[in-house]
Amino acid sequence: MPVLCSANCGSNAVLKRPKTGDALCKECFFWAFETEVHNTIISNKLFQRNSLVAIAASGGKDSTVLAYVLKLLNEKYDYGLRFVLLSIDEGITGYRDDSLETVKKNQEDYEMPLKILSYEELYGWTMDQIVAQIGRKNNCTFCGVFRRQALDRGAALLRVDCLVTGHNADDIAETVLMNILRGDIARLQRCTAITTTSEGTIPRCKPLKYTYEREIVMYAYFKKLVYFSTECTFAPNAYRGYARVFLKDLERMRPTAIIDILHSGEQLSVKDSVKMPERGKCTRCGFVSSQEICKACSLLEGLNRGLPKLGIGKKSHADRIRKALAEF
Amino acid sequence: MASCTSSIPSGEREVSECSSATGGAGKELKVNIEFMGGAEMMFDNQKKLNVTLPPAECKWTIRSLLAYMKVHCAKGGGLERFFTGDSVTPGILCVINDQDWELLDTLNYELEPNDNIIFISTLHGG
Repeated sequence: MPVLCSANCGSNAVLKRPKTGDALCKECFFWAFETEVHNTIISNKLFQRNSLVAIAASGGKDSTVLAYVLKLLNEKYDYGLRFVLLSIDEGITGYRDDSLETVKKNQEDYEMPLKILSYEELYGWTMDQIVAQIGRKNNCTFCGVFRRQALDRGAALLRVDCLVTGHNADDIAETVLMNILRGDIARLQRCTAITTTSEGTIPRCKPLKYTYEREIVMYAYFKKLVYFSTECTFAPNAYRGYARVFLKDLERMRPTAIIDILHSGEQLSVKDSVKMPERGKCTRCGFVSSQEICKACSLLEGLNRGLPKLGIGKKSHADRIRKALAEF
Repeated sequence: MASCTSSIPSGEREVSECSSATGGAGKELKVNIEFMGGAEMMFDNQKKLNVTLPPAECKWTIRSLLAYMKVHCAKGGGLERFFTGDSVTPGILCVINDQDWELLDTLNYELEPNDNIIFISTLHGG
């Protein structure tokens, strides 16, 4: 028995929206999906006219849908933006080399220039080499920290006004959960921000912040967008995986759980009396950091000195190693 | 394209008094299964399966199809990440003839001949 579209357009519904419970037909779903992203962009004033915007592109579902929707909205609502795709090649054989082929396809399909930056050229190490040295524990720490900085460097290199990432509502809800479990109050406060800016870096924003992962996949499916899906060959040990499984279990029981967690994170306020780490600049590379030496530089120092644990864990631990080395 | 046939003898079986035993019940039932978004990796990278379900006493549903797939189509590792309990793992979507299974009573949907059933993983990244 066909279910009719809740928007009363007369067509048969193709899906049930997790956020609202509405049954929508294909066209009404596209309209709702795109309009929500548009409203997010406008109400948060994410872009200024004539800006050059870098889209962090991995070839996966989120960045592919992001590039597609931004191009569409830019034309439909005349944002007056220009786009460039920015990809990071971590140097993971059988993973990133394949997905970069998809990004190259995006470049043609969406008529956007593409810049690929590699860990090898930025840091002198590929992820394959890092894993060979440190093993499969903590490797995601290296990759995550390096990628974050690589995107900043890429954005600076391209002289863009803003960098957008494909983070979706599920990603942010997972991060909220992880920061609660870790007791990381500083990040808990920051992680729900739609735009993050800090002195000396290019603003980053997340236009898909309120978009469910499930809807991104459905949108890509019904629009027949080509994306690359795989699992990073090194990823199964990451802490995020546990938060992810938990969140998906919650979603099945109560689909609004994802947006509810996100909203809770946004509502959270920290008393002024709580001491927060001060954010300054790394004395080595000049990028924003709450420590004297940023995480990326610590990790890199550890790799180059053959002491990969140097950058993992607490700063006091790294200081102790550095002191011991200095005395040696 | 891989096929996945039953090891259960598919001879004529008597249709029981199962109330929903109409239409497809008592006959073989062919359906097309497709994996997308990384779900294929949990099935030895097979993207499509043509499944011929043996005659059954009751109508085949997504629930019984999943139980059947677990026994007859499961290959390679990672299957515990596809199946959870009598369903698919949360985060794996199911689309039946281009319709979200959430609109079709999910596990209780009764299969029709030549249904196209697609499992899409949202769990795999870029």
